[in-house]
Amino acid sequence: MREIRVLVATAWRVDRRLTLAMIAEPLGNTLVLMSGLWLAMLTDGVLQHDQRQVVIGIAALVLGAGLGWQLDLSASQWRMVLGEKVAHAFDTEIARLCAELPTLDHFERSEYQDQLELLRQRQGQLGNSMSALAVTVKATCAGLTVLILLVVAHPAMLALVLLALPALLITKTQQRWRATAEDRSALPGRTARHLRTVAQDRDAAVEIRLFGLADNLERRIDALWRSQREPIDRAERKVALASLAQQLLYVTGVIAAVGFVLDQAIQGRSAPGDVVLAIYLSQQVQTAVLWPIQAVTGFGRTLHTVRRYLWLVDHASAATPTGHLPAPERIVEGIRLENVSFRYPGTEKWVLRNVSLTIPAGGALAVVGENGAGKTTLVKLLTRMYEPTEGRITVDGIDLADLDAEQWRERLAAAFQDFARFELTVRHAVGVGDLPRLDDPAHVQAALERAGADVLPQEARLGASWGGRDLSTGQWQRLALARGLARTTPLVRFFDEPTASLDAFTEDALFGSMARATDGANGMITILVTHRFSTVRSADLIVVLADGGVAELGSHHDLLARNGRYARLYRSQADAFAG
Amino acid sequence: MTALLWRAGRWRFAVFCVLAALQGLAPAAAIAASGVLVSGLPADPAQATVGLALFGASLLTGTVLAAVLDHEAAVLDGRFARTIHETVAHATLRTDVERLVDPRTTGELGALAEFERVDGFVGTVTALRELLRQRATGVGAAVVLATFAWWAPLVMFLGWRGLSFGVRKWLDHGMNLGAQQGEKALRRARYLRGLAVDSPAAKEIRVFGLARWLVPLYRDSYLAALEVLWEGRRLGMRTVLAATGGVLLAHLIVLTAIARTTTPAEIVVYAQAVLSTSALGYVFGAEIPLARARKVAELALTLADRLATTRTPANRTANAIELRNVHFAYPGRDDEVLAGVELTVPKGQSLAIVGENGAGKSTLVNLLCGIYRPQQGEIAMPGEVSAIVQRFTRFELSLRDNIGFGADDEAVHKALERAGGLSLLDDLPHGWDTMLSSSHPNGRDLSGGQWQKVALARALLAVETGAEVLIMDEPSANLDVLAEEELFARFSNLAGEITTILVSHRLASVRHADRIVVIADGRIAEDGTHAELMAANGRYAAMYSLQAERFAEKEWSHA
Repeated sequence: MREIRVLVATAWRVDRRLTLAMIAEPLGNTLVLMSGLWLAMLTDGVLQHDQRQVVIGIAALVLGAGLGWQLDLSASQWRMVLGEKVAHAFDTEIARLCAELPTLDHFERSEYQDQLELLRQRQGQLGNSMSALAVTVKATCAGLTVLILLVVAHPAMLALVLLALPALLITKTQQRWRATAEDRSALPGRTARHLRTVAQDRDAAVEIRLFGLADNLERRIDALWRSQREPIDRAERKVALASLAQQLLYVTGVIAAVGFVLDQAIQGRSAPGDVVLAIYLSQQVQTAVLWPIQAVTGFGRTLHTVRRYLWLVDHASAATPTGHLPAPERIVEGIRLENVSFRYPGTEKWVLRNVSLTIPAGGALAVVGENGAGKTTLVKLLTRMYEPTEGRITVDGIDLADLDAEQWRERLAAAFQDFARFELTVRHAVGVGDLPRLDDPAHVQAALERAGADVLPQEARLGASWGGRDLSTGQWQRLALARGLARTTPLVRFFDEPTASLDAFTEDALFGSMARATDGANGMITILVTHRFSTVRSADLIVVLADGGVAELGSHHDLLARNGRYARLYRSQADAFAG
Repeated sequence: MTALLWRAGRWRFAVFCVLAALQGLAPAAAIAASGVLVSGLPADPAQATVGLALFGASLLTGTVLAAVLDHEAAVLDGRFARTIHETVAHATLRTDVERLVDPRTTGELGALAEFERVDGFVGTVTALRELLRQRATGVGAAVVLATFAWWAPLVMFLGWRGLSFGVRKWLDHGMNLGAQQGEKALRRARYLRGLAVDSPAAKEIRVFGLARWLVPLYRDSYLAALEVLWEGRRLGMRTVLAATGGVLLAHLIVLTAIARTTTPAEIVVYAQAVLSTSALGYVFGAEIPLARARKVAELALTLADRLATTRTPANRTANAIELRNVHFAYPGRDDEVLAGVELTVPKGQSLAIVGENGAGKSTLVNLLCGIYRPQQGEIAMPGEVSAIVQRFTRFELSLRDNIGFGADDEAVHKALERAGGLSLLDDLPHGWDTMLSSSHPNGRDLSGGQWQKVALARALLAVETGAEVLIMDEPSANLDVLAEEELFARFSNLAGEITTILVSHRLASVRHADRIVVIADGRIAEDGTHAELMAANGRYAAMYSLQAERFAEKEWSHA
C-alpha cells in the first residue's frame, strides 16, 4: 500500500508525538465500550445484593465516562493540529511539484486541470487522513471489542457479523458511484470557481459594472453550482438507498438475535444479565460493526485523494527533463533550429512547422508575424517550457534537450507581454529576476534604472489589497522589464512585446539601455518578439513567421529589398508617422 | 448560520430538523422498549415478547430515518454551500469598486477562501444532523431519567451544559483566531503559493527559477500563522478540562441514587439513560464543523452587509463629458493622482489622451467609467459608457457568451464583425459555442490579440445597445500591425456617432483624433489637435518625434 505508506511517513515526519498519540488513541477508546460490561456487573450486583459488585460497577461507569470524554476531547485537539500539519505538508509538496513542473501543460490541458482541481478540492481530506486512519483503526478495535463481548454473551450472536458482510460489497460500489460523480462534477466546479473569482476581481469589476453583467453572472454561478452538485446528489441518493437495503437486513438480524437470547433466558438457559448485555450490544453493534466498514469507506476516499497526489508525483517525475549536460558559460557559434516542428500534446494542429534558422553568437534576432503565427511558442521552446515535437535545437552544436534544464534557465533572462504582477516590495519584485542578488539594493537599483522604472522607492509595497500601491499596467510593465534586465550576463535574453504598455520616453530609453547592458563577451543572444517595427529594424536577423513556418528571413535591408510581407508591414507603420 | 440555512431551503430544512429529532428519539424508544422486555423476565414471557416487538420497531424506524436523513443532509449541505457562495457573489458583483479593493474586504474574502479550503463549505448540515440526533437522544434519555426522579435529568443536564458551554467558547475562539489569521497571515502565505503555482506568473517562475524561493517562503509563513492559531487554542483548552469535574460529580450523584433502587429492570434503564445524557454535552465530530459554519456564515453576512451599496447614480444626462476641478487620490494615500482636471468633451468628438506611465491616465479612465469617484470636483456624462479596458476579462465561457452574455445572436454576430474578429470562428472547433478556455475538454484558449478582439466586440455591443461614450484604453497593445490599422479604421467610423476616448502610447494612431490632451502631474498639460500640439513643440511633440525617428535611420545593436 504505497498510499498508506506515504500518509504515515508524512505524518511521522511532521510530528512524531502526535502521530503516536493518534495511533494509541483507539486503544483508550475501548474504555467507553466496556460500559456494557460494567452495566451487567451493576445489574447482577443489585440482583444478588452484592454491594461490592455494585460499587465497582458504578465507579467503573463514572470513570469510564469521564476518561472517555477527556480522551475524546484531547484526541479531537490532536487530530485538528496533526490534520493541519499534515495538510500543510502535502500542500507544500503539491505546490512544489506544480511550481517545478518544467512545462506549462498543466495550465493548458483539461485532463491535468481536472486532476489538479479535484486534488485542490479534496486537500482537506489529506489533512484528515491520519485521523481517518486512526478512526479506521479505532473502529476496527471497537468492532473487535464488540465481537469479544458478543462471544461472551452468546457465541451464536457471531452470526450477526455474517449479516454485516454485504456492507463490504455495497460499500465498494458506493465508493465507485461517488468517485464517478466527483469526476463528473469537476468541470462545472472549476468553471463556477472561475466565475466566483471573477466576481471578486478588481479588474473584472470594471466590465461587470459597465456592461451590467452582475445578474447574468450570478445566474451562471448558480446554474454551474447546480450542475456541479447534480451528479453528487444523484450518487448520494443511490448510496442512501443501497445502505438502507443493507441495514434493514442487518437490523432484522439484530432483532432475531435479541429474540434468540430472550428465548434462552425465558427457558432459564442464560441469566437475565445476558439479555441486558445482548440488548446493549445490539445497539452498540449497530454502530460498532457498521462503523469499521464506514470508516474504511471514508478512508478509501482519502486514499483516492492520496492516489491523485501520487499521480501528480509520478507525473512530475516523468515530466522532468532528462538532459544532464552542464549548460555552457558562453555561446561561441550560435543557436540553431533544425527543422523544428511543434504541436501541443494531444492536439492535431502544428503551431510551428519545419522551422530552421541560425542565430549567430552575439546576435539579435527579431521575430515578427501576425497574432497566432507561433512567435511565443518559439520562446517557449527556447526556454524549454516545451520540447520540440520534431527536429531539434542546438547550442554550439549541443542538443538543447541534453542540457540540464535548470542550469540552462539560469543563463536566461526574459520579459513577457503577459508579465506577472509580483505584489511584493519593489525590491523583491525586481530582485527575483536575479535570485542570488535578491536583496542587493545596488543591483536592483541598476536594473530599475536600465528599465527606466526607478520612480518608486525600493521599500514600497505593491498591491492595493495589501494596503500597498496600485500600479497602472505601464508601471507594472516597467517593473517586469527591470526584472528581465536584472541578470547582467545571460546567454539569451527574450523580450516578448516588452514595450506594449510603455510610453515613448521609456521605450526609447529602454532600447538604448538594451544596447549598453552587455559587453558581448559571452556571446549573448537577444531575441525580440514584437509588433513594433520601429524596434525591429536594427536586429541582425529578422524572421517573419506565418502559419507556423518561416515566411521571410534576413536583415532589415534584405527584407525591404525583397518587397514582401515584411516590407509591406514596415512601410505601413512608417507611413503612419509620415505626412 | 440558521438564517443562511433557512435561506438554503426552508421547508426542506424544517422537515429535515423534525426527522433528525425523531431519529434521535429512536434510541430512547429502544431503551424504553428494552425496559419493558427485561421487566417481563423471567416470569412474564408475553410482556417480554411485546417488549421485543417494540424494540424491533424502534430499531427499524431508526434505520429508515437514518437513510432518508443521509440523503437529505447531503442535499442540504450542497444548498448551504451554495447559499454562502451566492451571498458573497451577490455582494461582490454589485458593490462599489472602492469597497471591493478595500484591504478589509480582500481580507475577509481571503478568510472565507481559507475556510472553504477545509471542507468546501460542505458538511454543515451533516454535522447539524448529528447534533440534533444526539440532542434528541439526550432529551429522550432525560425524559426516561425524569421518571426515576425529577432532579436527576437536571443534575446531568447542568453537568454537561457547563462543559459544553466551555467547549463552545473554546471552539469559537479558535474559529475567530482562524478568521483573523485567514485575513492576514494565511492569506499572504496563500498569495505566495498562488504566485508559485498559478498560471499568470508561470513563465517567469520557470525562467527565473523562483519555485525554490517561493515555495519555502510559503511553507514557512503559513506554518508561522498556524503556530499562532495552535498557541491560542492550547490556552483555551485548559479551562475546558477543568469543567470535566462537574460532569463526573453529576454521574456519581445520579448513579449512586439509582443503585439504591432495587429492581434490575430499573437499573438497566436508568443507568443507560444516565450514560446517554452525554448527548446533551459536547458532540464530537459535529461541533467543530458547526463552529466553522457559524463563523463562515457570520463572515459572509457581515461582508454582504458592508458591501451593500446605497450610492446615488452618477449624472448621465449631461450634454457633454464635463470634468470640473477633479481631484483624486487613492484611499490611504496623500499624493493626488489627479489634481484639478478640467475637461469638456462635446458629444461626438474623438478625444485622445496621452501621457507618461504613471501620469494618471488609467485613473482618469476609471473615473470616466464611474469605477472611482473624485474626492473633489464633479463629473457629468452624456449617457452610458462602454469601454475596452486594459485588463479585460477572459471569461471561461463560450465565445457567444463572452461577447453577448445572453444578448441576441444577430447583435453578437454584428459586434464581432465590427471588431474585425469573424476570422476567429475559423479556429474554433464548435464555432460560437466553443468554450474559450484550454481547460475545457473541447475548449480553445485565444491568443492575446484574439482576446482583445473579443473584448472589443463586447464593448461595441454596448455601443450598439445605446452607450454614448466609448473609451478605449490601450486597445492595440496586443494587436499586430494589420489588426491595429483595422481597429483604428473602425474606430474612426464610430467617431461622429458617439463620443470616443482613446488612451494610447501609439502616437501614430493618436494623431488622427479630433483632439489630443496630454496629462502630466495630474493635470491637463496640453490640449489641441495633432498639428497644434506639434507646433507648440511641447511634451507631445517630443514623444511623437521620438517614435517617428525610430523609422528614420537609427540603429540599436549590442553586438
